[in-house]
Amino acid sequence: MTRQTGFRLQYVVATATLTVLFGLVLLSGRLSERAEAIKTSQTDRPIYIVSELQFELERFLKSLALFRLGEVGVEDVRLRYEILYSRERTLQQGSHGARAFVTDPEAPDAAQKLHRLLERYDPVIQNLAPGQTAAAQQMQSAFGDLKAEMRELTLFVLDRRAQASLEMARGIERLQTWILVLTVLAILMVPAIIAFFAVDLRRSHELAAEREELYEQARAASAAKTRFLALVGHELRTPLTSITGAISMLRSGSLGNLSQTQEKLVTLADRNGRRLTGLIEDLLDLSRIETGKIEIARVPVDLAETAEEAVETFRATAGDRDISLDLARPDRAVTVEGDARRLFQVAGNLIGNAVKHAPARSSVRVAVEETAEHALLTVADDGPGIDTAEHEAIFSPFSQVDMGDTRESTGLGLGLHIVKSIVEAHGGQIRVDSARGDGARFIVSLPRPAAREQAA
Amino acid sequence: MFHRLVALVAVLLLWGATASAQMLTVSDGTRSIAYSEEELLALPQHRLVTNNEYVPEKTAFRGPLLRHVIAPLDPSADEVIKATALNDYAVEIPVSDALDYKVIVARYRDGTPMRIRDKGPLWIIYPLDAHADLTPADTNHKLIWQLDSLRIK
Repeated sequence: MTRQTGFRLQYVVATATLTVLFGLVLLSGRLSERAEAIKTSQTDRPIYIVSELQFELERFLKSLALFRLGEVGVEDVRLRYEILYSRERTLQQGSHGARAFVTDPEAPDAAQKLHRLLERYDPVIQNLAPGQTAAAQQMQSAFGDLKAEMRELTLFVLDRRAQASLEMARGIERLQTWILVLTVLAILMVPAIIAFFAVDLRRSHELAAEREELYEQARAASAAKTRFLALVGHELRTPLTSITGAISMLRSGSLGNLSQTQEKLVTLADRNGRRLTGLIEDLLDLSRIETGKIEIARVPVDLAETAEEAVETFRATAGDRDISLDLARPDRAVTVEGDARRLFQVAGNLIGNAVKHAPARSSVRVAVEETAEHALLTVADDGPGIDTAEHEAIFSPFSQVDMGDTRESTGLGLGLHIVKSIVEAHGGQIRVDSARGDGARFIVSLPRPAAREQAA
Repeated sequence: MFHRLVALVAVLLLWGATASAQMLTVSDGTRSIAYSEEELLALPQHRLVTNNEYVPEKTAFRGPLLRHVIAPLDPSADEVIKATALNDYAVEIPVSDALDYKVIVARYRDGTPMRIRDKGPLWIIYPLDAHADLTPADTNHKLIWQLDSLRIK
């Protein structure tokens, strides 16, 4: 399964799902329309009104017949007449929809005929007196002639209603068919959707496995490099120890006095031997950091004292180039918890860097301060400074940032990486505050013991 | 014999007089009240402008509230009123309708007393336009016209 087909399948499944959903929304709209039409009793109202009219016509005729026999009075005839009249008006008025049938050109005009009869006989009814059987007979005959037509009107309305009902039933049937089609589609889509997700899931599993493999390879390569560094470091250090030991013995004079030229050469060899030792120590530190084997002691250390020792170590070197090395520190001890040798390494590295990059006859300022939660070590110089864009890179291993000066690089670019790793192993942070041409200021902040306990 | 005849005539005349005057009978199992037109119009009158299926447009009706008409019989909300028309059409109206809505027993339509041919003399009118929950489908059949009697049960 390629990524390309995976994408196309995704597209098809999404389109199909949307289509079915759209169809369902459309159908539910049509269904609720139908339901609304059935709910409004408007559909049955005309049948009810027309059959009521027919019924009241029969009752009026019966009342007339009984009146002629003397079995009911004028009041009863008038009541039946009035009720019949009201039914005729109901048919003609209102929003119930019955009028549409009456005015239909195909409908029998029984309603119009009834209306004319009611108007013509209204005065007769109002003046009807007991015993006026002739008037009653006349009305009986006139209204009686309408019975057949009235029945036709009722049948006409029923027929139209039946047609409408049939139409509605067919519409519902069509909707049912559509619902069936969509349901089948939806059921068919379920396996498609499942297949789609299965493919997607498998693809992401594959990708994760690929990533895992690459990561594993990278880790193995890195581990091999670290092992190599450690091995090389140790292999170099052993013979170097013999060399520097021999040079020390030569310099001490215990093997006889040296001529001036000899002493010069031995001093040169000694200095370079120390430098080589420093480089190898850096490589070994890097391999320790990368294998997580860097060991940090946890004992109270006076950071001010450590800084002072480091300053003293570099005083001579600084003096060579007329650089003043100033230390500002509180009178009392600034205690942190950590590894004295490693912290000395941090201070020494930063001060060494500063002295190296500071121009002649400038100053390097070292300060130790404490805040409520942190002990701060600051080393500032007036050197060429570091571009803001490089601030992160300088802490990476083997970084060689162009310092803008012409001095050749004298290290492996590991110093600041090691410093940062040591500071972080102490639970602290290091940052640089610098811009090109503006000197550099490194600030190390270490948690104070009390603050550490509180935070823990 | 003659006395009997006179008494019978008197009773018939009296019955006729009261019968012609009475417009609406309201009863429950035990009591019965016959309202004359004057008595109905003496109750507080309520005007209701509303539509229904049997009028061409919004129409002003006026008459007493149904709850006032049945009040003397003190019906409870869970009882129903069987309303009967002059042509014996009958429908059941819950007493709660009379209490929840301003249902009126309309006597006047557009300021004129309704004749029987105008669905009078009395027409039960619901405030359909004022309450969305009074749907035509549920209410239309309760708009009984040519109302003749109310029986609470």
